[in-house]
Amino acid sequence: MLKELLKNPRALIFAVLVHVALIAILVVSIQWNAKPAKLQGSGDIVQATVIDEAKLQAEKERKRAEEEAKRKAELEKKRAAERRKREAEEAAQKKKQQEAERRRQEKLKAKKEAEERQRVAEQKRLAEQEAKRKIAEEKRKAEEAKRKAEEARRKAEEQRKAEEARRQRENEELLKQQMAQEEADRAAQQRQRELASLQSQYVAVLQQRVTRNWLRPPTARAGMVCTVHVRLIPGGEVVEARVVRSSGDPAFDRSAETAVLKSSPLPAPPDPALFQREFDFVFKPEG
Amino acid sequence: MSLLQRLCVVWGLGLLLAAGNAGAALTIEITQGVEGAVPVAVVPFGPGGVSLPVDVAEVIAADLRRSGRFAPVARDDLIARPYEASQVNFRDWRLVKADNLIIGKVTPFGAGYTVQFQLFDVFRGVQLSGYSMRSGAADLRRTAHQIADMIYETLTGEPGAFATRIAYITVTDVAAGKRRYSLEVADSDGYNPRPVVQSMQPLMSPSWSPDGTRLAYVSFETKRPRIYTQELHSGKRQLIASFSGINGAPAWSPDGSKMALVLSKDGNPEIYVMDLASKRLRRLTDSLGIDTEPAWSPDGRTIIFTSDRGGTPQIYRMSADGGRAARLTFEGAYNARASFSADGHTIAMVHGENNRYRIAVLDLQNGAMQVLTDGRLDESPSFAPNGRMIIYATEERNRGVLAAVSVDGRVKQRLSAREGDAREPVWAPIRQ
Repeated sequence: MLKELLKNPRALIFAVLVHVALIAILVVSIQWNAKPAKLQGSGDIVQATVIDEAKLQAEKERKRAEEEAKRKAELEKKRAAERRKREAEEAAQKKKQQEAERRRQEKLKAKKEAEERQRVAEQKRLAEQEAKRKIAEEKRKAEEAKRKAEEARRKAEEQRKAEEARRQRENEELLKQQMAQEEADRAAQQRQRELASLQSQYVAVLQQRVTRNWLRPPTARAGMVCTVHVRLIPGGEVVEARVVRSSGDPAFDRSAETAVLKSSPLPAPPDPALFQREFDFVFKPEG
Repeated sequence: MSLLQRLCVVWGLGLLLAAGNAGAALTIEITQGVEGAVPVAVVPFGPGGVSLPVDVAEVIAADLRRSGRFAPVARDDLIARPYEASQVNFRDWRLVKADNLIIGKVTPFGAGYTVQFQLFDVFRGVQLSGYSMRSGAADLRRTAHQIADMIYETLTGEPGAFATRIAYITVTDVAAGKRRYSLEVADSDGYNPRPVVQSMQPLMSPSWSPDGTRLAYVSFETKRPRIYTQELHSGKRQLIASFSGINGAPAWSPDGSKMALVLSKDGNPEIYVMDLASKRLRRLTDSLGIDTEPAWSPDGRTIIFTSDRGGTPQIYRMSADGGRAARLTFEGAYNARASFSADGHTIAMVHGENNRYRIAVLDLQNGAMQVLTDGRLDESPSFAPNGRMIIYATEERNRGVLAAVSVDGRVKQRLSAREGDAREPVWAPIRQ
């Protein structure tokens, strides 16, 4: 505290004065108790007159009061000076403070302005950044969209291509199937032609064989018909030869039957598919 | 490939399949065959060990061979000698390609024999015929011929003609300038000849009665030709015609009531028909040429004969009641001595061309003439009663011999003959 006081002499002086004053007050305090001094500000001097009986008293009083008033005025004066001084000091102080405050305010203002500027700049920067970001975003979005579109297009293209490929594959498959079918049909046709040709060969061979073994009886005449039904086993062996339509001439019928039996085993067909278990020989002499 | 084509394929395959499935859908026509004899195996009749006067199987085989329809397997080629059915293995006989197999057995029975035979169809493996019969010791040949007939009929459907007889004339030189003429009857294979009538003068033109019991013939025994008929059994004979000039070429009508003959009593030789009961004559021909050698159609309505009215001898046909004659033969410079087959469809004749006389047949239905023989002087053709063979006379080393030819000309065979010339054979009808 002392340090503080030393640091501020005005405050020390003020403090001493206060103490003195306080002691003084204590000294005179009994009188004062009746008439509380007006501890007011400078300017107002109280005019007191003792009106009543106790005129000595009053006069004493009045003298003391006058002294008092005088001291008081002195004091008041001193106080007023002090007050003025203090007030000046206070004003200076205040002014200083005000200046400081102003400067501070200015500083603050500048700071604020700077801050504002900074803020604005920041805002601007941010806005710019935002704009940039937005642009970038948009760009990105556009790119994304583009990419997506591209992707979609690519996908569509791929799909189209895949579809195309699939269709082509299908077409090829179909074509292949068709060709295979045609080939099969052609082969079937070919086989049929072959079989037909082989069949006529086979028939010719059978015909030849039986003709060679047919001892045509002299009674054979054009117009005679004898049908011999034959049954074969796969080796060509005739297991049955039976006249199913008689010529009316038993010898002729028997000659036909014998011709077939004698031809056993009949030649195998050139293709096993042509083998027939049963068929007919029709003996029909010409001329 | 169009749908239609596909359908066609399917249809075609279907047809094939149908053909495969439908059993007898396939038919194979046989229009040609082999002209030839049916191979048969005639196994010597068993059981052997018995000495027989006749080789029955051999007689049967010869008959069958002579018919032209059958070709008996040579004995050396017979693969086995079964004489009973139980001994037969058809496989053997199929190997030798015999269509038929004939086996038999001859066992003594009393003074004669029991003859049994069986005829088999080799490829079917079945018996077609089989009989057992009695035979006198002297009749074995005849029994064999009968068996041959049964076999023949079974196999061909036509009656056989082996157990028939033939008549013919033989001429034998007995001394310088002297010849003996004999009308003989023999089995159809020429065996068992026996004379019916003999003469030192010519005998000619034998003709069978339709019932086979009598023969008509021309005899010069009185130095002039006369026509006689003679019963074979009794030898009893009857003079039929003894007109001035030629009395020749008798021919019995199929019903036996009439006889066609050639007479020249009215100038040149003409055809007449005599009613045998009344001896009444009816002249059929009236031409400036020679009309001779009449023959009856099997139905008795028609007579064919030889005439040179056209310049050369040719065959003509006319109604047995008379009327116009139509010429039948146009091929060759000489056609004569015609006779009918039993069915009336064919006539056989002597066909002369370039100084060769051969036997020919004319198919009356289609007019086709076919020469059957290749001799130089073949003559006197006569059909077997079944129409399948023709017997005729031919010349062999300047000697007349009898021969038979199948009607298709495939088989010709000389008949056995004794010494001398044989001529004018005529085949007897099937014995009633």
